[in-house]
Amino acid sequence: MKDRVSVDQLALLYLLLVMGGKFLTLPSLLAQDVGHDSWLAVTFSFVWDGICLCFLMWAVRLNRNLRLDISAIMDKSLSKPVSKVLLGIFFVIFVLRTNVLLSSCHKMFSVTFDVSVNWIVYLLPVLALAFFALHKGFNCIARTGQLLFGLIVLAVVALFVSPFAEAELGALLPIGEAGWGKILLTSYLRSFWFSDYIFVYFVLDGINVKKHVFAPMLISFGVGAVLCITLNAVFVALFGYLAPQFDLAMSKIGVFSAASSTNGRWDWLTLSIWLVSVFVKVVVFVFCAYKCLEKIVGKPFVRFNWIAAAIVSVCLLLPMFVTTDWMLDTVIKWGVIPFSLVQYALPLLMPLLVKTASRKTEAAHE
Amino acid sequence: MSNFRRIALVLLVVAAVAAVMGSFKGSDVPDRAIILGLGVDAGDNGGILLTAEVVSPGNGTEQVGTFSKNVTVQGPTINVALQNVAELTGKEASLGQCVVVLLGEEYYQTVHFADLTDYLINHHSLKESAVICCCEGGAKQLLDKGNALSQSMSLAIGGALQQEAKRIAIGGNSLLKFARSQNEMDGSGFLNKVRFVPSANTDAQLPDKQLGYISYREMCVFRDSSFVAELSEQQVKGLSLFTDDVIGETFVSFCDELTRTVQVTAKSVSRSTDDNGGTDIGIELTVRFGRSDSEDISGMLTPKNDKEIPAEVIEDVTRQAQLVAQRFLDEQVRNNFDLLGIREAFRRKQGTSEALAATPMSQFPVRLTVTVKEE
Repeated sequence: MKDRVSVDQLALLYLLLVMGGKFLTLPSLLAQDVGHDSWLAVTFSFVWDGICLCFLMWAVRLNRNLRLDISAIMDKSLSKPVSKVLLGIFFVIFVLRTNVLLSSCHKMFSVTFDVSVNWIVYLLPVLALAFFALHKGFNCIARTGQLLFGLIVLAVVALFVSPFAEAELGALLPIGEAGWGKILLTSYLRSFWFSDYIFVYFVLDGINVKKHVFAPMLISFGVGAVLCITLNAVFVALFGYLAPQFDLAMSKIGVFSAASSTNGRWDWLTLSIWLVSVFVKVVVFVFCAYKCLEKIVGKPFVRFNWIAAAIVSVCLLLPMFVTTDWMLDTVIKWGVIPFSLVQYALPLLMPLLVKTASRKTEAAHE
Repeated sequence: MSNFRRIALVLLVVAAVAAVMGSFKGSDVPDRAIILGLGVDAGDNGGILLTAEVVSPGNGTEQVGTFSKNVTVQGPTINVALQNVAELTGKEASLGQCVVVLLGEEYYQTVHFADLTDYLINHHSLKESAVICCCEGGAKQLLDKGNALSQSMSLAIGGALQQEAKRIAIGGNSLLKFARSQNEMDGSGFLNKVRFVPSANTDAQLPDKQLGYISYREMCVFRDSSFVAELSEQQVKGLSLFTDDVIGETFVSFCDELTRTVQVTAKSVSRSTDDNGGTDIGIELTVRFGRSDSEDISGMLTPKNDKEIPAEVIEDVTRQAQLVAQRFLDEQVRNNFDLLGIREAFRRKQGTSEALAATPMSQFPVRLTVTVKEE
């Protein structure tokens, strides 16, 4: 089965996804909201993510024998209409997150690499890559993640070294100066950037569960969380009052070191390698958006479905008509409650839903 | 797949690749005026006189990285002036490799240059790690003296302040640190002041060529992007004593009818604050005699420093270091600036407040302890 994936592959891919999107616009937005306490907001977000991930992996474990897909689980446990609504929310999240990621990368190409290109032409190769991966199946994406994993992690570490040495982490004191209530609220309001585990819903029926379910995912989660929290801390410690103005964190941090940029533009090389993780994330989210449409339609796409692909492609043209700021201030700002239904409430309920769906399936078989 | 579909697919891929290739608007290196350094002087009608040291690849006989030329333009703002550089050179002004921004004496002493700092720090290409410093006389005049050094003036100053200064007891400042210092807490910070010092020309083949070197021994203090005071060489030495990663201070001591040079090779600075606004600063200097003799080991000259430093010399160096450091502290109180981050230390304890930033430095007494030990 081309969508079959092992837990280890899933864990590596999850780590790439965690590293792939949080080093762009998020650090500056958090700095705008809570100043030098932004790393605390990230920490809280990861705490919620950690709890939800545990529940989701528990559901994966419960689902290991029957291997029901997300649609079947929700149809049988929550009813079909509710299932369709939730899949609709998933679709909106995936499309929006892909749009935000792509527009941040577009800006990075134009600002850091000085390459300007119009949106459609920028989108064409990305979509070609995503649909090729879609055609090959999720296993192909997972194997690509496995292949590139070491290189990307090394690039991220290389990008961090010099700024980490330069940053005075004492500038993060006093801890919680913005107010704990505000930090918690910010963590919730910016939750759109978190819960990268939501892609797991769409490969539930393809996960090969052997021995360990929790350990690989939690190790990946831990490493990803530490890297993201550290980056946020370094970013605000290094740039201080300027942090809210620098909307491409990795770009600023990556090219910060004077030494690295004079030695054959080592900074550009490492930044480019890290960018691969963003495109892996884009591919995964396009895969999930496509799968959402498949589940909403209710009929499995036996062959590559051009109509579904066209719908996803059209949705990714959004940045041609509205700015990322507009998306953040309207759809994402007001969508935080419905989004948290699938990001936080659903994973907590998943074990129960899987159990209910399994019971009903087994009863139907009998 | 039928032949017709295969051909259609190939044509589609070719069309897509052609569209992608044709739509990228990159800029080639020969289309760029790569700026190594910027000099900012006061211009006409409140504007600026901008001098850019430019490397233009692909210009006939020019060799990249070896020869540069200075382009000087006027403009009401730095933005317009940079556009004028582009017009004058016929190439896009690229600040990605700019290592130094020099402020001329008239400019930094008379102009409130917050808009300049703001523009530079928010510029997408210019690195925050670039050096910003001020100079004696005009920035244009200094940049024009590149021939005297036989190398790019910008690279010489940038390299010295970025990499070398810390080893010779001079603290350096980057664009990022300076911009932050002017906008956070009390808004005070420093810039290194560079000065061209002419030297005698002993070259018989080029007797008219001006030779010289750059002196980095002074600093200027700024608050909210306006000039406050100039620090003397001794005060700069005092400031460097408080900085952990700056070493190389030298002290001269006369003892037992011998004049000896003692050099700082390592340093540890500890700080603690109390609830009454007081700060305890402890400076521990590790010193050794300046190179006194040498011996040939495996064909290399190696400093031989096995002589024990007499207690009187240690005492004398301690007294000198205490005096120099105290002079800097007195200057800090006199002009009410804070280059040691004393207010920042209290902010970390008490939280950010306008009252703290506005409290005069005289309200923050510093108890200084200097200890000196032999390496």
